[in-house]
Amino acid sequence: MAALFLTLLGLTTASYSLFKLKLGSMQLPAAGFMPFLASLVLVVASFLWLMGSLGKDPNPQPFWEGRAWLKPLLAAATVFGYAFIMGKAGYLLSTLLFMLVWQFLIEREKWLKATIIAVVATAAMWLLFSKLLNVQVPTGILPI
Amino acid sequence: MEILNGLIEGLGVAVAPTNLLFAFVGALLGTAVGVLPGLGPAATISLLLPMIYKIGSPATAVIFLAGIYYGAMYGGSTTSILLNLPGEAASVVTSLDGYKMALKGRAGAALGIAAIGSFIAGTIGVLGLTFVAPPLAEFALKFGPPEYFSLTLVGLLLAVFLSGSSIVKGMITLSLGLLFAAVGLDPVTGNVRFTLGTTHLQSGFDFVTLAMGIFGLGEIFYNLEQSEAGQIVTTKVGRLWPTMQDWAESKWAIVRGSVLGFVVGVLPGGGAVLSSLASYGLEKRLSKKPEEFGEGAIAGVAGPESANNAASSASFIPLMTLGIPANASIAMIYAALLIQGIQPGPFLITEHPDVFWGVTASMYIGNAMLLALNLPLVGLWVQLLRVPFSILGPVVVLFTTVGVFSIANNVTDIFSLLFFGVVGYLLKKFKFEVGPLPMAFVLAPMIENALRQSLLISNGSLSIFVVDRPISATLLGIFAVMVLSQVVKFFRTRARTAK
Repeated sequence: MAALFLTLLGLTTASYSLFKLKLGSMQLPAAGFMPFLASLVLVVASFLWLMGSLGKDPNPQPFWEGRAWLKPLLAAATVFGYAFIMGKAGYLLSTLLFMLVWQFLIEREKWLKATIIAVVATAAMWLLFSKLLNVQVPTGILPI
Repeated sequence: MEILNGLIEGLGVAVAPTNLLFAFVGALLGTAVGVLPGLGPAATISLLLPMIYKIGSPATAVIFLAGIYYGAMYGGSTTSILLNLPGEAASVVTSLDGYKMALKGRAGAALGIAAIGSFIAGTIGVLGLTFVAPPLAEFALKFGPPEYFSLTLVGLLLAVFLSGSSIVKGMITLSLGLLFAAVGLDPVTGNVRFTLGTTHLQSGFDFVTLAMGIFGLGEIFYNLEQSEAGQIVTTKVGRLWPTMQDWAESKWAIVRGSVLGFVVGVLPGGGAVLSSLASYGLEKRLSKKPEEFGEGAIAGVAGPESANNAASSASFIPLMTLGIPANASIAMIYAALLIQGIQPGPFLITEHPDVFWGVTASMYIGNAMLLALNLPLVGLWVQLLRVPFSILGPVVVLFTTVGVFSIANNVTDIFSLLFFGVVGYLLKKFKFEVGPLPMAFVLAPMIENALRQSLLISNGSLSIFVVDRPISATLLGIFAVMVLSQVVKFFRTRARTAK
């Protein structure tokens, strides 16, 4: 599946480089010249990978054991949500929420432990970045 | 004489209080983060890379990063020995005998010999760098665009071929790196490429975001899947200083490892991995008791640890003289130099002698600092290993997000970070060797410019890469031999399996 996806991705970028960006001439290569060459390498390598994996193992191991995919997916969704609300809610509030969600949803911690970890980690990170390293973090709805 | 003068000038730069402090902080932070399970040198440097924007002097910035690199390499050995969890491929062999030594209650001796071996090897490596780099840089001054094109091409291919992983997969990560680098404005024509209609992507992807996503966030996503964490063998490390017998069994392994590591480390790609593997094989072959290897032989720790440290020093040679990063970690130092407005390459020594000689001299000091830091603080590193992943994971995520945000105070960059985090996770999940991706990403502008300039000079003729260009022709010859040897190997294996 992944090899097929990469082959198709390579074909897409190759045709975009060829038709949209244009290759130019050998004397004066255009914007699509280098991406086209890189896409060709991607197509050939992905195709070889695809061919190599076909019919190799009749009973391949499952890509994810059981529900192993769940935690990385939840983590990615949490980071997405964090980035989404950081600008509006501000660093302090969004980080606290991020840590709480992570502890509850991903690590399945008990509420008291989760809250303590979230509050302490948020305070420590805020002090480190905002006060010690002087990073201009978004303030959002809170005055700090 | 010139080298000696340069080194004296460099020592002046390195012992400046600010640089001394940054070398120390770099080695300390590098070891502290490198010790954390699952975070190798590349992840460690990527996590601390945004700090480079805050450092005013290029020499200080590279001294800081070199300290982190060395520290992280050593931190990786600590997790290999105590947890059987090598932070990166170069430490895999250390865990074979180091972990067995720890199980037998000799963790201290393994950590001690790794630190001493690394110190000796690092010093030999830096000595080599001091004497090899200046003449090589002078030679590289003769390079024009065709030579640079051939050199970067061969450098990248070596990184793929020597990584020890699947070549086909290596070529995929390499091409992905080139394609990610193409996003944004074309430097020559000004056309926008692969921006998907957004203005945000017009400036292209930032290297720091890519590195933090792939090595930081991707690593955390991947580790979330692993239900079993390594068990710390013991918190009692025991006597660190090796006994007379340990020393007798290790001294020549250290010397051989250092020389081997230096020679192999100059090559782009997998220098540290290859050299540690080669050193382990060599020590086992030369040993009077080869059956002890894999059961806790101290030479099996001393040799590979020395080799990978010497290789780390040697990997600065292609960076400082040719402008070619030898591995993912060095690609980050390459990016840091660019952020500081310095183009790594043959002009570095003549145009920025303070950076070259300052960094070289600070490595002498850095190696001593690492020895002074690691042995007394080993108890603290053991305690760091106890940080549960439930805290470590989200904290690393917060580090990467704020790090990326701080570069341009732009929340949208966090979405790019997340994208690269998912890419990094999937590449690791599919067992790809990730190293060629950041290397191709940082070298892509150089390859593209060199190719376009060469074709412009030759009026479109490809002969410019071969005719009257002995250096380029030789490099392309190496390239052809490498590709051919792989094709022959492929058909031989097929013929053998068909039988």
